[in-house]
Amino acid sequence: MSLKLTNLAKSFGPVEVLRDINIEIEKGDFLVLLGSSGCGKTTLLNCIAGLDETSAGKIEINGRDVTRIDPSDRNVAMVFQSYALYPTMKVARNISFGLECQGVPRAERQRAVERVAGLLQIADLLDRKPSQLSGGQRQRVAIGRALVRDPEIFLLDEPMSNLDVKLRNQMRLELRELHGKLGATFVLVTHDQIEAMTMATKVAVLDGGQVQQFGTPHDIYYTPRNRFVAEFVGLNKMNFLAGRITFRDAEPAVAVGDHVAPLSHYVFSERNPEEGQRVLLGIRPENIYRSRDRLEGRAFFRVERNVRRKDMTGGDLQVWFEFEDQLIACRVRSSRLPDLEEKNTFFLDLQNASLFDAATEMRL
Amino acid sequence: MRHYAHRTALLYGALFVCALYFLSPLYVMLVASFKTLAEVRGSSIISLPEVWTIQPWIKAWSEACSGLECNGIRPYFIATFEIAIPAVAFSVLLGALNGYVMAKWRSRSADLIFTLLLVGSFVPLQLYLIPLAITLRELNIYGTTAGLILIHTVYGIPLTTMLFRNFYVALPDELVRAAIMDGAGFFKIFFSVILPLSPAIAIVAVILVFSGIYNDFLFALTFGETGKRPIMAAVQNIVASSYGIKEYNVNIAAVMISALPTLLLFLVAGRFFVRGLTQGALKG
Repeated sequence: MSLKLTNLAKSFGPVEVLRDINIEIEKGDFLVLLGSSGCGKTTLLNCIAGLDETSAGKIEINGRDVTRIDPSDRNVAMVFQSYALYPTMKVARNISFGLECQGVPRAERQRAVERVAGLLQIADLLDRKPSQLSGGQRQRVAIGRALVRDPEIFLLDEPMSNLDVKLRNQMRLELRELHGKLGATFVLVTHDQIEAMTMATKVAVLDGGQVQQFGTPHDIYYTPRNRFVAEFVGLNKMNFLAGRITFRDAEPAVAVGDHVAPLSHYVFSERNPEEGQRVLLGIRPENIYRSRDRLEGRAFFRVERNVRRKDMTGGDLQVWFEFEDQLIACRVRSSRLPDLEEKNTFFLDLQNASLFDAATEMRL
Repeated sequence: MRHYAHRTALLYGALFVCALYFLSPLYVMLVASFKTLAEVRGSSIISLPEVWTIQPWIKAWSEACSGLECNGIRPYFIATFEIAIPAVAFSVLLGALNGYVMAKWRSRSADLIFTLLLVGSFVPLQLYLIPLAITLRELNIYGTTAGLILIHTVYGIPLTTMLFRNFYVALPDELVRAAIMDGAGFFKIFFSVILPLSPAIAIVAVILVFSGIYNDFLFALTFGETGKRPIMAAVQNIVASSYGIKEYNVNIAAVMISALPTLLLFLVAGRFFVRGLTQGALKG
């Protein structure tokens, strides 16, 4: 266990920003705290860093209770969103300032700076001031400042939000490489789900100051624990169909309007559903096809509808059709463009669909 | 285009007249200080001296009488710097420290203290005189240079605190947080991270506090050491001296000399002054 948060809570005066946070990750994990702005993810990171005091609960790092320990004694290092490089210091001193504060002798500091500079390929920048660096270079220096202290955990607060898209992709790769090379634990805060999906070994989706789901990116994507997670994750938003549970020969099935499909493949997370229970059926746009090629042996709905709307999203096209008074999105390859108001047959594949209770919006 | 040229001419004309108006007293004083006393009395105030002499300046500097002592304004000039330099240094440094605490280590009481400081600096000076007199007496520094240094240091702190606080508020908090993560303590952050960012605002503070102390008359007159009074009180003494004939040229020269330091400070540091006032947080 590298980092363990137990029943963590944080209030600013009467405002509760975090509650019941329980997260445990192993050494070498890459945890991404994912959420929209104001969900408390940065506050959570600050609590782990020790920059914000927790109101309740426990933080353990490497088995040691650090809840009331100063930030610099927690064996964590942080990369800030704005990088927060010291403007008056040269890059070398920016990197070694932490060591300087610890009283590390000059010669040793210099060796440490050289090691980090080699690792991040910033050796030729050491004599510059932060104002003479580009955004990507500042980012590297900020990472270097964290790296030099050889911490147990790296905390990164939206480290790529100030970079342009191209640089961001590159930094994402580099950060993953670095993570592999160091074998240290990383905790990264972001609102960018691609960042979360591509880099994380574990994702914690936060909303309203609570962990909505904690698991691998695969878990989060394929078995979202509630409607919020299902809607939040996924570049093309999941479709939700109002339906109910019916039983056929003691096997559960889902009915949406006149369409009924068996749920024999579906793994119910807790108890089995009841007859007539109202549910939300969540289907991602990429699980709706226009041919039945891939549907051998699977449960699906087949509907014939006119195309109402279409959106171009790069290599993909989303088309929308009406089903049970709702607009349903379907992802198609843009090489086979349907026309507006053209009649199409759509197959709604239930293999990877999610079922939520209509009232609680929790996964069934 | 023509219309535009007319307006420009008009504008510059008006500005020229204004400049002339404001500079004319300086001109009158300047020419008078280079005239002999007889000529000051006999000639028009705007005419140039027939015989240029720097005698009035020399006399004002080292021979003019203030009360019974006739050493010119030189001793007072020096005495003023003996007070102003430490007082400026202390109040700027303490103001920077205060501003740092108020901007970056916000506690619930910071805003209250800041408000009190501001209110304190709007109270008329005269109200302080008697409490100050008692305080200085109790501290045994009444009528000494140390006493005036203390007064000016304390009196400068609200202004410098306000300047530095407003400057530091604009600095990103993450800078301090990064330093905390690096294990830097309160003073280490102040001296290594915050203070090196402050030269621009420090120059503003120095100019304002220095000219305030230098131009101070009330405290100088009330608490100054006899024979070592700060310059403004001394100049007044020389000018108002009622013995013998009024040497206008010498008086004017004394006033000119006493005005030189602040004038020079503005000329030299004015550029930084404007920059410091308009500059918010440093980028990058």
